[in-house]
Amino acid sequence: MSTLLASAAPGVADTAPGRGHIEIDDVTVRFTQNGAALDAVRGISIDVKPGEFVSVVGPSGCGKSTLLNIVAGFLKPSAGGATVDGAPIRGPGADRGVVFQQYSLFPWLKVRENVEFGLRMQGMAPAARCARARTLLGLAGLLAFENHYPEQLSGGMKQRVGIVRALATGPQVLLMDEPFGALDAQTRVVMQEILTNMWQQLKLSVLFITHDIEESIFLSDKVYVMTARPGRVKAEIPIPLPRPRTAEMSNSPEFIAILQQLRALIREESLAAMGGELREGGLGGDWHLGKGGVGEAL
Amino acid sequence: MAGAISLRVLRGEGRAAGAGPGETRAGEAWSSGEGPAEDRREGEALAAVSAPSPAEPAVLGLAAGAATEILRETPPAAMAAMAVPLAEAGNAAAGAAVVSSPSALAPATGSLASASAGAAAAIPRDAPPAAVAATAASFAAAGTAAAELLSTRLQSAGAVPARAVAGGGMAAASPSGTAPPAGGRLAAALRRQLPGLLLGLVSIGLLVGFWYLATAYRWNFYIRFTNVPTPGEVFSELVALAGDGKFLTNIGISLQRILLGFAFATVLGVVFGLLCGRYLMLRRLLFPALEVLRPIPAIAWVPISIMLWPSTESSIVFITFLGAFFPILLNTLHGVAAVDAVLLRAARCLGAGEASLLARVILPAALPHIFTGLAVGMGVAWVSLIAAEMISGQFGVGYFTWEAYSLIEYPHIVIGMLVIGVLGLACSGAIRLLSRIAMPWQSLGGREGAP
Repeated sequence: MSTLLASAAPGVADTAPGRGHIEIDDVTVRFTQNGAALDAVRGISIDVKPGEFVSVVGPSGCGKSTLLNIVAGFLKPSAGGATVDGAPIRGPGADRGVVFQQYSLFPWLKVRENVEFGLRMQGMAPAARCARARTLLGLAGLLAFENHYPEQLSGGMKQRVGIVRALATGPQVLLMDEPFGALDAQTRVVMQEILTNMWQQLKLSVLFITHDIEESIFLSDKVYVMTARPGRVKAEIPIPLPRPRTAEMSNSPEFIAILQQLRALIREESLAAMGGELREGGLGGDWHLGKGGVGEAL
Repeated sequence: MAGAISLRVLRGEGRAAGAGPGETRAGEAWSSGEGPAEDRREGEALAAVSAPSPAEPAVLGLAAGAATEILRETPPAAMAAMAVPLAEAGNAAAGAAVVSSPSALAPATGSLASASAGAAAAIPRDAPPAAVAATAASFAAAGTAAAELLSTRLQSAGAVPARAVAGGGMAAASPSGTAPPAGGRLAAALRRQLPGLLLGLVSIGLLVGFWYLATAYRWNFYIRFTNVPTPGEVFSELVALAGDGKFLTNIGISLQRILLGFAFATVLGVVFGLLCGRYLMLRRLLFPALEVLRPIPAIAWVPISIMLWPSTESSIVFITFLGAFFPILLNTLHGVAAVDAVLLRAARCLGAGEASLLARVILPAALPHIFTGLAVGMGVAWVSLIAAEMISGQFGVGYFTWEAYSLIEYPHIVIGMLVIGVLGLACSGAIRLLSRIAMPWQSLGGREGAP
């Protein structure tokens, strides 16, 4: 599979080791609301090594997406800086693939034309970009749907096309903003496996934003936990689980230990985000920890 | 030459008409759109209440839609020729009301009665209601202005000559544009659509039947059908005219004018709409001026247009252009505003520059709105064209219709109206067809807007 990719789509797979290094260095994003200055994120530093899969989790509204928007080039930090392979980020570009939570496929283009969009912007000849798009669609199991319009696809298929489209121009960095948030649980698991496969074959650096803790553990080499607003890094948790990871692994003691650790961290921040009265009062037992019983039994 | 005469009349009497604004009040009251729209809504509600099954209101709506279809496509300016003999002599305001009301009613019907095959299908699915309402208002404004200008002319034209109306046969020139589609699925499609087609025929039959009864028996109850030609007369005149080169030339010239004016309006409206939608500074610079000009109906531009343009031909094309330009511009603008921001972001992430964004993302994303604008603009363009032809024209269907009135050839008035209706239907049908070809992704999922 990877040889096919390498021969038919050289730019996608010619991985020079050491490329795709994302560094977010002491970044603050400040905006003014009703005259008052508010920090969306404050003094955040995140490091994604080449070929690493890094997730960012945190309570809603903590500025996870703000972080991704900085790396994507949609947002300029008020202080600090972000670089990819040492080069400062100046606006969006095809060197960083982005997958959005909403299916951001162009509804007027067929599946293959969607995948070809970035290649077309690079001025690639029609025959070459068609061949490349077909190769990638084949890898994602979507070749049969190349002439469908996005509206004719299921949610999971749309998001697969979205990933393939982001990868078509051969970026070393893939930025994903809760890409599976809108999918049902079963589709989500399958998509996670597909993504893991692609990531391993293409040796990409991935910055993955999610609110799903299990998802972040299952996919990542490293998970950053963010605090409630203003978002700061609360913890940096390495995930030493072996690869390839399987669905059964989520019952392993190691997995559950990490899960509980992350849940406890996030829970504190969620409570902080929701306001003090919840922290003081009556939340009582650990009914947030759905699998607490399993953990105690072990 | 007739154009010159009418122009003189226009200049002479225009001031007199301006001095007496009371004349137009009845027309304006109708044209506000409130009256007919409210009636329609109430009617629908009643139908829904009294109907035993949910299918019935749809059927009723279909029949009503088919009946209003031909009226809708006939610009109110053309109606003016009919309205004048219909109304009491000297009571031009009543005529104006008659002219205005269908113009306000037809677009309102299109937006309210979902079962109405006509306007509802012509306007793409996600047409913003505000745009449709605004269009109804502009139709109405155009109708009122046309009626004002024409009633001025009428008063100077002298006494209305009476003419005996001979009874005729029940021959009906059915102008329905329902050509059966060719293909293998024809039989199935026919079976599915048969009830609708039958009701459509009944609807048109009722209209023609009423026309026959009213004219053959010369009904006279405030509205006078004494001078209105019967269907038979109209049909036999139509047969006589069919091979007439002059008549066909009139049609050809009208079509040429509408295509020219509409093409200019499409190009300029879409380009300006895209640019103004994308660049705030440009919008701020251009829009105040455009907003001042927009409420002025295209017909009100007739005198200044004659002064501005070197030939009658170019001034008529200009009027047609004006009619279509603003709906296209505004809908394009709405379309640009409605483009999903995530698509723009996605495109920029894929390396799209500003030009590519405009041409490959914003334009296709705004296409549904643009086609709404085209459908609406085509309607207003016809209104404007016919009025311009009647007032300042030589040649053209509008001129033909008005000339028929001047020359006391009453059957020709009706023929002119029917031709205008059929041409209007054909033009909006062409736009519907074009929209389906240009936006194949819009008609997925088995939705069909079959004519």
